[in-house]
Amino acid sequence: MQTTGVKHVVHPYLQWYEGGLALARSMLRCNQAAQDVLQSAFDKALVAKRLPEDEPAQRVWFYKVIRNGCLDVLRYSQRFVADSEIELFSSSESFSDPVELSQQQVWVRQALMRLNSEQREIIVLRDVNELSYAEIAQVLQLNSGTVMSRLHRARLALREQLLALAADEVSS
Amino acid sequence: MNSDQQVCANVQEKLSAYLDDELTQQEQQRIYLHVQACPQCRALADDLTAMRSNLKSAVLCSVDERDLPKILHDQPARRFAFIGWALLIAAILLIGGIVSWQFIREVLNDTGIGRWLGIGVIAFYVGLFLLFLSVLRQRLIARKTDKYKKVQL
Repeated sequence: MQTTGVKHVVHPYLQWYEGGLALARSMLRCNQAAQDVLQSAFDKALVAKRLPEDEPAQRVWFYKVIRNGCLDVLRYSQRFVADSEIELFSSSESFSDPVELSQQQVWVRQALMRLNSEQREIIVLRDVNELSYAEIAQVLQLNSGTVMSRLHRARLALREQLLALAADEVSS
Repeated sequence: MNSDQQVCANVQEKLSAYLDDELTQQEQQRIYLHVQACPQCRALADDLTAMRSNLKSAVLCSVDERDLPKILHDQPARRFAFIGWALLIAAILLIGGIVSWQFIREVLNDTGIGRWLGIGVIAFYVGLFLLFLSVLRQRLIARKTDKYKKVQL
């Protein structure tokens, strides 16, 4: 986020806005719904009586809130059931922005959207938000050995999708 | 050959954690040595590294700047608001002072009503004003110690 000359006090959780939005977007595949989840997560951060004291714990708490919010939305809209079908429709179109991206980045994003939601969330938590394995384990409520193997499998799957996309590009 | 593949499989399983610097120092060292020696594993490691650096920019740069409340930090608007408040407070003080001065003079000079009644009326209004001041003061103190006051979303 930009600071435009003016010195102003910003809520400490705002520093995770972009990362949180990226997480929600990749989980929900919908920008508006992701922003709604972020909004209610900030609402919870303001209202909650007992929050963690130190920053890393607050971060974990915040991502947990976002993830649970996303899961609620998904459950509510019954998308969990039809996950694989929706994947094909919304993988590329709904996520395109007018922002300039290199071809490589477009591919990475498309490939990410073709993974399943478990793999998407763990990759976004690690590679975009740079949480440590221990923190990811807390957010996803797994043990860290599981985080390690799941993350590795997710990355291999992403690589495969990337290779497939590149092959499509070459053949077409 | 078979044992070599076994070693590679073992290493590749931990390659992600190695790139994330999440292994113990000993394991980190072991995998580092293997990746240096084995071209296949190094290719995979390079792939994963490149993918990781692409991911962050690809997913993050899509955040729209307009999401953030720029309007709140608009400097001219803040200046106008400050001047407006200053003028408003000055006007209230001025008008209030003149009106109350004239009111007091009139009540004290007016011989139609008794002198004591006049003092009673003045005391009534001064009392109301003091009560207002006490509430205002409490509000201001509460506002100053409000921990959510500076929160901007």
